Amino acid sequence: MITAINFFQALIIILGAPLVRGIIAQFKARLQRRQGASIWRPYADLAKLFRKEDIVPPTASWVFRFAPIVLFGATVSVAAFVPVVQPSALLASRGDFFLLVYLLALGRFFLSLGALDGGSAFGGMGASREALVSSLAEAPFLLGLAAVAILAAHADIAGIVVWTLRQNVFNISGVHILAFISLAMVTVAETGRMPVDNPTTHLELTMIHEGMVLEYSGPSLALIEWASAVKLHAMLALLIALFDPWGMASSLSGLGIGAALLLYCAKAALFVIVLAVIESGMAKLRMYLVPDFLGVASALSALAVIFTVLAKR
Amino acid sequence: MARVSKNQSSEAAIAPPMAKDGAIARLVTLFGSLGRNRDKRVHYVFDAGDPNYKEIILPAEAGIHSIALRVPAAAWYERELHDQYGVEIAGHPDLRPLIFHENWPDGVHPMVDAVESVPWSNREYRFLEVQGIGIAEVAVGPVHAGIIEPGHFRFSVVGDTVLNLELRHFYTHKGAEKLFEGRSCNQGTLIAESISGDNCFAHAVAYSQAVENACRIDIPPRASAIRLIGLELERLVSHISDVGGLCTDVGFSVAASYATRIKESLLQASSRCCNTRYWRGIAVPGGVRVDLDTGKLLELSREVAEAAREFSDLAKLILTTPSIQNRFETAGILRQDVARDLAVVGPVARASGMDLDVRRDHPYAPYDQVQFDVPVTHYGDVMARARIRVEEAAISARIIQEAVNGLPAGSVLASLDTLGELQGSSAVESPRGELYYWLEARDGRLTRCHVKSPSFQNWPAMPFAVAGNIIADFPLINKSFNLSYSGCDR
Repeated sequence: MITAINFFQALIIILGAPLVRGIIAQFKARLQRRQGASIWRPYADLAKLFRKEDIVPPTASWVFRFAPIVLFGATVSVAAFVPVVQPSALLASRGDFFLLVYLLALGRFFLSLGALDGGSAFGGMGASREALVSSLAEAPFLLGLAAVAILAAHADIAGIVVWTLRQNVFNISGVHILAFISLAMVTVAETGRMPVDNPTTHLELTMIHEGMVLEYSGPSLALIEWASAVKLHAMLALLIALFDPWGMASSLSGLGIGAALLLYCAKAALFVIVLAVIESGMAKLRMYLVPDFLGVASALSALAVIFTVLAKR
Repeated sequence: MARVSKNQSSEAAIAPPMAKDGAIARLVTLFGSLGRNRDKRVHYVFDAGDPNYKEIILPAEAGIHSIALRVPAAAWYERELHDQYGVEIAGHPDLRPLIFHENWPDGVHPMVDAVESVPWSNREYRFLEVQGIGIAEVAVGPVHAGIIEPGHFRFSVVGDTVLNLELRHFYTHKGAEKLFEGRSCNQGTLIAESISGDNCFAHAVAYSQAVENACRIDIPPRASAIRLIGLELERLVSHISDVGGLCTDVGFSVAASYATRIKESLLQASSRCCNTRYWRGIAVPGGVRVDLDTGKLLELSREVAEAAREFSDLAKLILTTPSIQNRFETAGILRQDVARDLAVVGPVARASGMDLDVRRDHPYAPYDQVQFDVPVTHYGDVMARARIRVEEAAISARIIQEAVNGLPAGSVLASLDTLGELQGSSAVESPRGELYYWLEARDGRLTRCHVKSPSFQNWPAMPFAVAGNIIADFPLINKSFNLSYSGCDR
């Protein structure tokens, strides 16, 4: 039973991911007073891409074809670490938060390799920028997670969530606030959202993620797009699980699970709206300011760890 | 590529005239033409600070001396002249083909030779190579990821910093100047309008004025007032669109869509007023083709006032947003001396401290009766170019109000006598800057029509604004110049 629910949780993240993107796009369109595309549009896009021909540049090797598969596999595995409706996850006992961070890094590494293998200048430029952003995002990502892990005395995500659930909602510690802000900033950088990267740009010279995928087409592109949607959704679910898990089902009753699912949807919707408002309200950062942005995240997460160790709160 | 002329001594040379401040006068344009006996001539047009342009004509059958080293703005014009007429140009630092690409054979010069069956060729074209450790070349275009015009940009970068940018344009070269040949003066309007889509009215007016100048006639005051409304509306639409485009390029999407909406409201208002969104087919030699209903013009003027008010609020919001200021300020600085050397025109020039505006300096009817300020600033960065456009948009809106309120009555079309030998020129301040037409006609048929487009003039300056910036800022800097590829390539 618990395995079935855990499986169901992973599916929510993986299958619901395009919907999250669709809702963000729709909400941003509304903020611009446009009608916007349907929230189901990303599913139609994926279906279209899966039916299309996969065009591989003549200079590319097997790495180019292989990279999207590794990226998708790694990202989907991450989804299986994150609790959604109840404080356990499919792979919770198989690995800790380090594994989660480096599974994402593995996917990104292969995507960068694939982009370099594609042979276009923009792929290389995107890959080098992605390497810069992700190497700077790694420290705050790990430190932010470490701060809450030390508090909970658990290294796996589900364990941290179980501990958090036992705490009083109103007894939020400074550590949580600092770690939340730094992980939210990491989420923006990791998932290539504004103001670090503009996912809707058509200017090849300003692209990070989009530059890397310029040479991809058909099913390979579909896997990459789906994987990046899953990454965004998994990061959102991770933020909710770590910092606002209250309402998760404590028993395995159908009613409890249903209520927890509804509550999760409401929280996710709130996150999505906040993300859309932030994205709409400012211009993209200069490329040189991205290190500063992630530097702030690093400082916050370092503070979180120091507070945890000193004050145990 | 250096060519040695057979007879060095017979090469003609001009001394560029001086402006009042003692510097070399601003080069307006440089072009070739054929005389009666199909002998090649070169025309130099300078702006020495007087209301009238100064034109120097030089026989070029035996080649000319380049003035590019003294007047850098002449470099592209001389290359174009070399391509179009095959005029030998001694002392030019770079005579690679400009308007023709590798597929165009050497020795075929379209303004002299027939172009009906030109064989496909495979010439060599060498980009400037920047050598050194860690220098990479990035080739962008002519096919871009977005739906924009084609142009090739060759960057030499070290890391993310641009050391050198070389342009390779003319992918949309349509041979417009050749197409004019043999058309009647009225047909020429259609070609002029097609040269640069979003500035079509400025082109139509400049062309029409050149014909009227050649025929020595004045157009009815009502016609010139209607032209003024169209020209200023075009500027307003263009500037709103440019500021919105700058927001799009930095991902400030809400402001970008608001700008698009304001622009669209103006285009629709135009459509209701004169059945054309971009005022196509309105201006003709002699005036305007149809009279516009005064009631409809009043309605248009109300919508312009509303759009200008909305845009001024939006611009205030955009220019005070910290993330926008961070992106716009100090990005893509075009220094004043560079702008002066390359004789840059339009909002780009005014943002780099060059105080020039055809409407004020070389007035054409009815601008001699209109009072307006010419905003100038010296920062030369993306922010300066944005601010100039915001200010000019407000001024244009006010000029439209005044023109509609004081619209004279009467006819709108004067008749033209195009028989005999005609020669005329005219300049218009288009949204991108000085647009200059020079034409020659014989018995109602055009024999030569030269178009100096502001984009052709400003493109060579853009690489200087980009050098030293990071490559990711190039699209923003490019957008702040907002040059037309089609207008440049002609």
